[in-house]
Amino acid sequence: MSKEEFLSQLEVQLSGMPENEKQEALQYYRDYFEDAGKEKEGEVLASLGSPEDVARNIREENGSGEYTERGYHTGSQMKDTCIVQNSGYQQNGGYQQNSGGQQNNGYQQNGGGQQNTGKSKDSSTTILVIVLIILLSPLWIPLISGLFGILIGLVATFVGFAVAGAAMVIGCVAALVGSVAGICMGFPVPLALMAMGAGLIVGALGVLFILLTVLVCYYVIPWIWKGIKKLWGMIFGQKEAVR
Amino acid sequence: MVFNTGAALLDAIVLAVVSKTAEGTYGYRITQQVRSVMEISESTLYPVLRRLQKDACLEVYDQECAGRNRRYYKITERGRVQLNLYEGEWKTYSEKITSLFEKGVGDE
Repeated sequence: MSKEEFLSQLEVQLSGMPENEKQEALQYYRDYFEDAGKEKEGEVLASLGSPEDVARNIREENGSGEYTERGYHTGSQMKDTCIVQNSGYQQNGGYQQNSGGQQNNGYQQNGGGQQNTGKSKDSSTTILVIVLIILLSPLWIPLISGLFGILIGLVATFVGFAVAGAAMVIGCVAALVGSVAGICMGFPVPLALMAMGAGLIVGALGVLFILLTVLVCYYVIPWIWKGIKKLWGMIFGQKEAVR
Repeated sequence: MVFNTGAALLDAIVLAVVSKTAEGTYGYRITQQVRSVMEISESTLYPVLRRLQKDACLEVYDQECAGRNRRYYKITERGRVQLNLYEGEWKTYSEKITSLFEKGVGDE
């Protein structure tokens, strides 16, 4: 195909367009060949593609499409992401003059839209979780109450042990004081010594109780606390669990 | 190039190329200059130039050259405003992508 053949075929392909539009396009490609020069004619022809393709390209000049190495592609899904600047030739062949509105509106609105969809997805999951929690309340309220009861019971036991320990220590001191006082006041010495020994045994047991309580509180309570936190995290998402 | 070029980026590139010559430039030269940075077909630019012209971002005039009229494209004030906008957008966009490639997502 020569340059002249190309141009006459292009003219045929462009028939139906307004005359001035057609002449503009033909003039552009005639200029193009002239400027490329005679020696590059074949190269330009090869790169332009068929007159049909070029004509389609011209008709779709409102172009909200993609330009790739293989040429121009219209995709209706692209319309919202591009800066839609005007409406020229529609695919049905109708002709509309550009109204020249705000040029970057489409672009920015689209950005905002994408953010919104992200957010609403997030909130719908949250709503789902809340609904699930409410629906399952007959199950987890007794469960949590039970667990809470056990916890309080355990704490009370520990406190009881501690108080008992303290009482025993006080008893021990009282027994020691009492027996010394008894000896001074003329009580039989073996009897007083026995009371003193018993007091000391009780005191030792009391110290043991207190120590045990402290140990238990030191290790067991943090362990329970961690368990509760983990459970909380499992129910309400990974964020709390990671911490 | 593996990345597709959207209509906005192509508009920006054409406006940038045309804006570099104060007295205006012509279709063949614009195409060659755009083709020096990205692979486009020789028929890609006519619709773009036409659209930019309709949007009053470019103006045209004919000048005689070697016994024939050659059509020249020149950037308008409106085109310059549009080009500035594109350049700003491109800067933010490309910086974000580059930083993501090099450092990852800036979460912390």
